[in-house]
This record gives sequence, structure tokens and C-alpha cells, in this order.
Amino acid sequence: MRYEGATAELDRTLMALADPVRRRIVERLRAGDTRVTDVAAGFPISLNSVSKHIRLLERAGLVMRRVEGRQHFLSFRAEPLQSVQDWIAEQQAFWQGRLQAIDDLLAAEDAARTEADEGDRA
Amino acid sequence: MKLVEARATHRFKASAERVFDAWLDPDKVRSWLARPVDGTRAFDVRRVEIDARVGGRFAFSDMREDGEAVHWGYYEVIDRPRRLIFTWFLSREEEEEGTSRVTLTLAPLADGGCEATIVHEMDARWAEWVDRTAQGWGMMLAKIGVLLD
Repeated sequence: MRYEGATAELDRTLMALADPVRRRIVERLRAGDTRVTDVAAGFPISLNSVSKHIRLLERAGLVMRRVEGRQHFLSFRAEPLQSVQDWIAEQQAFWQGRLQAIDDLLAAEDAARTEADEGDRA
Repeated sequence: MKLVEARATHRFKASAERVFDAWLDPDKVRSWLARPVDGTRAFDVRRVEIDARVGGRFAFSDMREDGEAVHWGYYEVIDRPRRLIFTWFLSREEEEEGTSRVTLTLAPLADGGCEATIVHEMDARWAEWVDRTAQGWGMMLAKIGVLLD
């Protein structure tokens, strides 16, 4: 009855996305690979501060870094988002299955009762 | 807006009262937890402890290859036969965070049966973020849909 835990990854993913700056970084990367300096441009915060947000996204696996010479390119990875979908799918399968099991149980009770009633009449 | 939620629905021939009671009677819970159903494996149920009052704790466990897996939680709303709300944890961390909550709603049907809806949400911890960034999240989740489709 346990959902086999992608919970840690799910937590990291949601945590990483639960910030407007980090969501905007991700949105910028949707256009394709982008240099770190271009990603950082336009934020009213320091490059250092943007770098911290990028590192958090990297840790969550949502952003990959590629180094070419002195240039750092970032790209977006959607795979960790799959853990959100997986969690939902697993829960739904569990609860749907248990509702069916309750239905089967109650139907079996009814069948047993009908049989007993017929036995009484016989 | 619920951040992450799983839903299941089922129509019962049985009355809402009978379906509701199946959630709080330990013998019945043991029986339906252990019952194999198409598409899901059978559970080797061990502990079924139920303190069926608001604030009361429950614990269900099943044995598996890597040991006993325990689920527990606390009843938050017991409104027979319409609504049952309980938290649902499988680790200390989850309990501390209070992330996970299950709502069972039973709507009586004209034929004497009922329709059950289960919503399992993981939103307690995210709730404040969602309020703060609901619009951003809506956009992001729409994009997640696009990415994964």
C-alpha cells in the first residue's frame, strides 16, 4: 500500500520550482541552450544570486550545465517533472484499486447474506 | 488550486453508510486492504489499528520483501456518511511536514447506492507558495503538461 518513494525527488523538484526567479530561469531555457550570462541578464538581482538559483535547479536535475571553453551553457531537463506525474499515477492506481476492493467486499457480504436467507427458508 | 493531487472515483451499489463504515471498521479495512484487485497486487496486511474519532490515529501495515511498511495518519473530519478526511504518512518527515491528506466524499445516488470520490493531495506544505505564486504555477503546470505529452 506504499507508493514506492520518489518523494525525495518530488520534494526537490517542487522546491526548485517554487520560486518566481527560478521559474523564470526555466522559462528562459525553454528557448534552447543559453549562456549563464544571458540567463542572468535582466534579473534585478546580482549574478551571484542568480548563480545560487541556477545551482538549486541543477541539484534538482532540472537544469544541466555544459562548459565550452570559458562559456557555460545551461539547458532545461523535464525528466524530474515526471516524478510529479508518477506520484499522481501511483496514488490514483492505489485508491482506485481500494475502492474496487471495498465494492467487491460489500458485494461478497450481500451474496453471503442472500445465501443465508435462502438457507433459512429452505 | 491544489498543487499536486490524485483523484479516484467509484460508483457503489451499496449505500453511503455501508461504504463509509468500511473505512473505520478494522476488520473491514483489513479485508479490503488484503483483497486482490485487477491491476494491483494483494497486500500482506499485518497491523490495522483504528482510533475512530477526530484526532484519533490509525496505522496500517503490510509486509514486503524489504520489511514492514507502515502507513499512518490522523482523522481530521468524520462526518458519517458524507465525508472522511485523514492525513496519510509513510515517514516521520512526512508527518512533520504534514504534506499528505486524503479526503473521501460519498454522494448518495437515487438508486440507493453512492458515488465515492477520493482526493489525495500533497499541498499543506506547498500551500503558502501556491498562494504566493498561483499564477506562475498555473503557467508552469500547463507547460509541464505540454512537455510530458
